Amino acid sequence: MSRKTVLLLVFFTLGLSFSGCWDYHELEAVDFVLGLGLDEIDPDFDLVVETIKVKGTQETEFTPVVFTNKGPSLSATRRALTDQVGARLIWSHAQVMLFSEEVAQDNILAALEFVVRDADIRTSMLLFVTKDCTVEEVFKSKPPIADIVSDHLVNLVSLREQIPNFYPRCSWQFRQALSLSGINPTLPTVKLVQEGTDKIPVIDGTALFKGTKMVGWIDGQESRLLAMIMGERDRGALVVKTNVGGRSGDITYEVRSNRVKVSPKVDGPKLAFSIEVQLQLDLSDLGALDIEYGDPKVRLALEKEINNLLQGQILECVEKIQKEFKTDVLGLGLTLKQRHPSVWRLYEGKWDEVFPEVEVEVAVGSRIVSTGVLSRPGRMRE
Amino acid sequence: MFFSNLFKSKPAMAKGEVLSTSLEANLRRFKLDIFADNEIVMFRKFRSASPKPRECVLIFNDYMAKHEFLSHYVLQPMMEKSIPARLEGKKLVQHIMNTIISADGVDFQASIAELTEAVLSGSGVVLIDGCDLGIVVDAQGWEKRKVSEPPTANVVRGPRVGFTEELGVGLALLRRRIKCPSLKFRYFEVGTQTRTKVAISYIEGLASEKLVDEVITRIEEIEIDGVLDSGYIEELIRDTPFTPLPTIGSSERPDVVAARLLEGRVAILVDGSPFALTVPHFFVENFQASEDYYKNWINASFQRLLRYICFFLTTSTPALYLVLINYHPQLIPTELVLSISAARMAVPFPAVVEVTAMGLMFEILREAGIRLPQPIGDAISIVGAIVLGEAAVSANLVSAPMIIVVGVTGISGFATPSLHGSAIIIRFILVILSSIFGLYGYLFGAVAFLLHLATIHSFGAPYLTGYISFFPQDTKDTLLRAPWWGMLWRPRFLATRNKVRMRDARS
Repeated sequence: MSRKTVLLLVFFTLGLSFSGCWDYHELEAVDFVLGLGLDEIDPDFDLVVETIKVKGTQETEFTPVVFTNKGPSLSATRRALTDQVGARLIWSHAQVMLFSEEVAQDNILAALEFVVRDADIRTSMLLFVTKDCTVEEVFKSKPPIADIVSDHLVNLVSLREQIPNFYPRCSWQFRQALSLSGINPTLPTVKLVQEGTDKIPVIDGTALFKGTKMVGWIDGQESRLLAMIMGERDRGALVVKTNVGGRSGDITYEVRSNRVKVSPKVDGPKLAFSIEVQLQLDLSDLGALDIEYGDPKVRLALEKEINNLLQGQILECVEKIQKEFKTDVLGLGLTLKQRHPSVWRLYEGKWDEVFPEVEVEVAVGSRIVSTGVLSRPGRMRE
Repeated sequence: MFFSNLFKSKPAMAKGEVLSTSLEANLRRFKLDIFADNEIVMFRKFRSASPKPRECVLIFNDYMAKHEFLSHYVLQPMMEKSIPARLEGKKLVQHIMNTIISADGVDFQASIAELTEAVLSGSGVVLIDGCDLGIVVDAQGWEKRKVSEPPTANVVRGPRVGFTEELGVGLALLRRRIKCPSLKFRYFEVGTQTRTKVAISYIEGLASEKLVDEVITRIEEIEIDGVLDSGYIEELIRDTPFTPLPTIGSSERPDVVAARLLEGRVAILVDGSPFALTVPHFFVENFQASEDYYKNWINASFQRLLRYICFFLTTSTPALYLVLINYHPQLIPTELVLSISAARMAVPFPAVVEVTAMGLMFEILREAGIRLPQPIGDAISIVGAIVLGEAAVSANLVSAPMIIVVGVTGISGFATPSLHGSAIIIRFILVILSSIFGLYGYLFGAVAFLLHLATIHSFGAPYLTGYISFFPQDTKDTLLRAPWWGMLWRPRFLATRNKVRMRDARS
């Protein structure tokens, strides 16, 4: 045999040893984990998984099944769970992971370590913190359309542009925010809402972290502003109380596009940040308000009202985060680090103390670019 | 005793054996030795007109010669006219050929072997008493299939003409398309028993001389008893005999063969076969259909891409399905993996058994239906569709996704008819590799197939010619079909001597 043949043979044999029939499993002998969660991590890991039971070959029926198990570590509990399920569990289809409030306050890293280390679990898995309920309760609740709670949550996240009251994070994003200096992570909140006899899970609000520990909540409205500052797309509705030319009422706008620019202002020893928000809006619902919005002056007045409203809200939200929670989930430090690395070095060690006191200016510029199919208000005959 | 009788041969026909002057002796030789037990050879005795009548005999093949023609142009004039008594031998036959027999193709021969062959190929042979030469009159005429649209390569747009089993018809069809005198034909006789006529055709000045010489050498080297179809020649002269892929092109369509001749290829036509061979043959030709060149190049390009996709599907679908569901369920979207899982729930067989069994079943149905008369063929396909498709799924013997996989595999195989056979082999190899080694196995199989393609040659040219080239002109007729005004050159590997197909009108 020539050298080449030997090399080729070695190459092929080694290559083939990466995969082989030991990896083979029939699809009907496995069960797919669609979502998982942790109710507590101290003293034991209380693991909850949502799997699916498949019935019928012609008319298929998917029933979610929730299993819980306790163990000294997440990895060990996962193994123990296989025994309970009676099928090989495939973890690569897990779409969501939930942490109870207790776990989030304790140390979320301990819960997350295994998830980011394991090769099977995707880093695009969405993470949530449950509020006022346990993970098990969420998984056992009954969403109205989807049978499976994990699917329901994924659907909600995919619809976020229309209901932007949370800021979705998947595991790699969360981990990145944990590991970078100058930013602290956040996770969206899952709540249970009573709907008739059933409780349905909704995503609303945000859990704020300082390092690996959760320090507080903000509500859906604030979460939307937070997401906006973080550069997330927003297509949601915006209700503005308006008073133009003596007429007052609510006007609803739909956000068409939003652009946010956060820039640090370094002026000697003084450090400030400016947040510029550019919005393009569609006027979508005038209600009973009869104003000539086609008139440029009126339009300017409307835009000004929007600007004022948003400016106030954003400032308030930023201030709340600064003063109440003292955690830089906005990534202001990170922006400073990226724009002015030398300045950042001065603050790096004491950013936690500097952040609550740093000055933030907010400027909002909105433009109404479309008014639906009507160019004038829908009036009654006089 | 029995065996010795069996092997007791008739007096052999010596190579140099010639006619004698005695009609009696010649007739005996033909009737009792050469054509003994051969009822279809007829011996018509007659006498030429007075004053000095001569005994003559016309030997012809009952079913291969035109009776009327022979009666009208040979028997009648010879019986009505007298032959001068003083003439003998060559003078005599020349006199008869020049003044009496009014058929167009006449010749004379002394060799018994040649005369025998003439009779067997349908000519009439006239023997005259006292003359040691026989007159051969071309009177071939037998039932022929009409020139019609070839069933293997139907077109929506394009000429509806196919070769027939007649070599002459084939050559005429080619000549009718290429009226230039540089279209050359060369004839060979292959097969010691069948003596099949084989013709090669090429355009002088276009096809490389080396290629023509190589084809001639390979054909001349064939020593076989019989050639019944061009498939014999194909297998005897091809390169890389151990591959399922075709390295010699075959076509029933004169327009296709003419197009290949114009690119500098050599065509081989075999008497008795409607399939003409063309060499060299490249992998890309399996994806080219004659229709590609007759319609809009954009549509043709799309259809050609579709053929490549079909080849990928027919070779890889079952293997990739196996890999995905058995080794890498994470690569399938969650909803899909769940519904496949549901469909497989009650199926007792592992997926690999399912794939192999259904794949075999499909091939069995195809093989069983292929040579059946039309009405029975339809019945087979109904049984196949109902039994395999419907019943197997409702009995939970196979899963529904598997039917889709097998269906896609089977149907897309028909998009590249010339690769159909090889695709089956490749598919099964890939299935085996994938079922043992997962995605690695599939990839290794695919890479091995690519390497195999790269090692094949066809008459000196690499099999993958056209796919990779530094000259854009070479790749214009591969994955896509460039418009005619864009394909200014002939393929570089073939037409080495005259590369320009078309002059650019703009320059």
